[in-house]
Amino acid sequence: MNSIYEAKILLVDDHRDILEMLCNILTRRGFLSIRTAGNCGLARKLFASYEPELIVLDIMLPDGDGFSLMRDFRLVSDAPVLFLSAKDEDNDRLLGLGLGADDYIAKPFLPDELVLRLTAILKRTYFSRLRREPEDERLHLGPRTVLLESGTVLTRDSEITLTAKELALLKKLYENRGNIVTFDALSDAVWGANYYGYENTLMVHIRRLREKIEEHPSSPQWLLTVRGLGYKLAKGTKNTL
Amino acid sequence: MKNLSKIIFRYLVSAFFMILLTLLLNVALYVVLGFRMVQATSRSIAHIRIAAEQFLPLEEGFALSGEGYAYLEEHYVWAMMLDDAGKVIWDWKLPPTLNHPYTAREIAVFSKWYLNDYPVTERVTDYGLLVAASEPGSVWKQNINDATGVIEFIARMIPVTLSVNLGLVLLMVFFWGVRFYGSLRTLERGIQNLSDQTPIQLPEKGMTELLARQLNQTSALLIRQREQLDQRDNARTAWISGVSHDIRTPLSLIMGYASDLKEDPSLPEEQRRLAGIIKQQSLKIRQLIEDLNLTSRLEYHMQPLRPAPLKPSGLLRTVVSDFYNRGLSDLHLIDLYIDSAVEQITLRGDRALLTRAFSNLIGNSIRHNPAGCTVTVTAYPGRDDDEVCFQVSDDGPGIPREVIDALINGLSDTAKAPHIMGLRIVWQIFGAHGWEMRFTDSNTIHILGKDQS
Repeated sequence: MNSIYEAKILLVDDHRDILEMLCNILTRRGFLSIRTAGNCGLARKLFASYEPELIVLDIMLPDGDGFSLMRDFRLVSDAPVLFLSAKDEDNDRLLGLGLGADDYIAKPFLPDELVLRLTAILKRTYFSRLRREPEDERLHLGPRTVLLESGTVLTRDSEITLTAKELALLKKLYENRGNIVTFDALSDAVWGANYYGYENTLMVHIRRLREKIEEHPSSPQWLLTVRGLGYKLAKGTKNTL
Repeated sequence: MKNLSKIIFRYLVSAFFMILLTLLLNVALYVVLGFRMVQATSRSIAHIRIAAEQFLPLEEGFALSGEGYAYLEEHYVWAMMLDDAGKVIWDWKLPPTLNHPYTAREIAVFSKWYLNDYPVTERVTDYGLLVAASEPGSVWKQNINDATGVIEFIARMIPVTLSVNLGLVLLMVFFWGVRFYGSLRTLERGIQNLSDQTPIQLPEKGMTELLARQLNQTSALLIRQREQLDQRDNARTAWISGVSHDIRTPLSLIMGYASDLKEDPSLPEEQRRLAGIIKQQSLKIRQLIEDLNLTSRLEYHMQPLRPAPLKPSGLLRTVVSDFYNRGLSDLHLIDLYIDSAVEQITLRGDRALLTRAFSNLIGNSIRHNPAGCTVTVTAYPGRDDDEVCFQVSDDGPGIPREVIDALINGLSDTAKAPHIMGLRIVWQIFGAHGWEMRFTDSNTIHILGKDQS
């Protein structure tokens, strides 16, 4: 498999129309190898002969249920599983994810959402190691660049090292770039669930982080304060709320 | 349990006092009767003494005064005087059959018992032995000759006997009390179970047989009613979730294809715009289905709460941030003010549901004010340590009075119901947490959050 679009995908759903639509959507987005099954029996046969690299499973099937089907598949293969079900109860969601499913989408769904999640699973499963190892992920902040793996900030003429906590904060903000990240989510990312009373410490860390990544720390361009809520890392150009 | 011990204790105490009262009454009666008996005896002794004093000495012999005769007439039927040899030396109305000399044996017998059925009283005078008789059958003569020891023993034994009697009665009262307690306890457990809605089947025997049978019948009735109610609730929830489940697949197709058509570059702009409208409306239907499901599950308590400790301040920041992150038009502003004391407070609650509730409230303000508004969300500490007061308000036209009335009065069958579903869910979520939601004016909603434990 050279790209995620070559992944062999097996779709299992008892509604012919849904299978057809999914095939259409995925084909149009460039996926090359798709097979479908309308029941457990056929799904098992295809699983053995076709050896899929990703499975999209419905829960309620005419001759069984998706949960036990997934259990059987997991005995012989680690291929990721995404549940696509009309059951929207928390219990089903938790059961599916508890069994080790990679994601759970409730019907009705937006095709874009399905494709995004499916792509994310494929990237995570088959390409994350290949991509990350050779090159450190780079975050460009104007004239400065942050190497996120090593925690180094490259300026025009020098290198600054981030502390572990500063790096954790920056990573959290980077994951949600352009969005507000609350004080709570940031503290949680750095100090864990029992973060109470760290508000002031958080401010100190943010100030030090600004000194390292901002050209003018007192009037920040990248690491912006959102009054009363938290902080956000601005997208490409200067951005204000 | 405590109640029952109290009942039994009172029963024992009242039994004790009843017995004590009876005993005291008996003693009083005995004293009065004894006193009257003693009085009667001393009166009969006095009569014969007075009669004896009415004999007057003559030069030769003696004679009874006129008053003496009147006195005899009043108290006796006949009288006679015997000399030391037993010979009758004086008599009054003496029946002829008795007018004869008496031997010492005869005198000894009648002085203790009767003379020809006449109860007689004797008195030794200076002139001889005066014997006076009363009407036969009017006096019961008895002789008590007991050793002094026995009398003393009896006197000593009276308090002992009384105590033993009292003890015995109390013992019996206690025994019956315990038995009564046993059957009452069964009943009490039954009533307790009844109020906990646990089915009961009490043994129908003993002194509480009838009560037990009635309790059993009540229990059976309650269970039947409960089952019918549950059945109806289940049917309704199952129907709603079934219908929404069946809608999900066709809606997936509508949403999927509409969304695909909207992005299809080969279609004219107008067609793609219309496809976009279909997609938007499908998303609204999806939201409605989810709301309908959640509200029916909350209504019939089929949505299990998953309470966990949470910081209300953090929850509000997340809710407000999410609105900004999803993209909020410039016309709308959400002001969040959290009192610093609230930062220290942790409450237990279902994070997902509470997030949903606050999101619905803020979302309502934004949706109903398309021309723009400022939503103000505040949180400050309540009166108790584990209480937080929340306020969500906006500067728009406010919530219509009918909506608030429909919500508070639980009118779900009106034509308005779908429009207030979002608010109803909020009401239900806070209600399920034991939180209070109030409307002071049409623009402000107050919520009193408490620790869910």
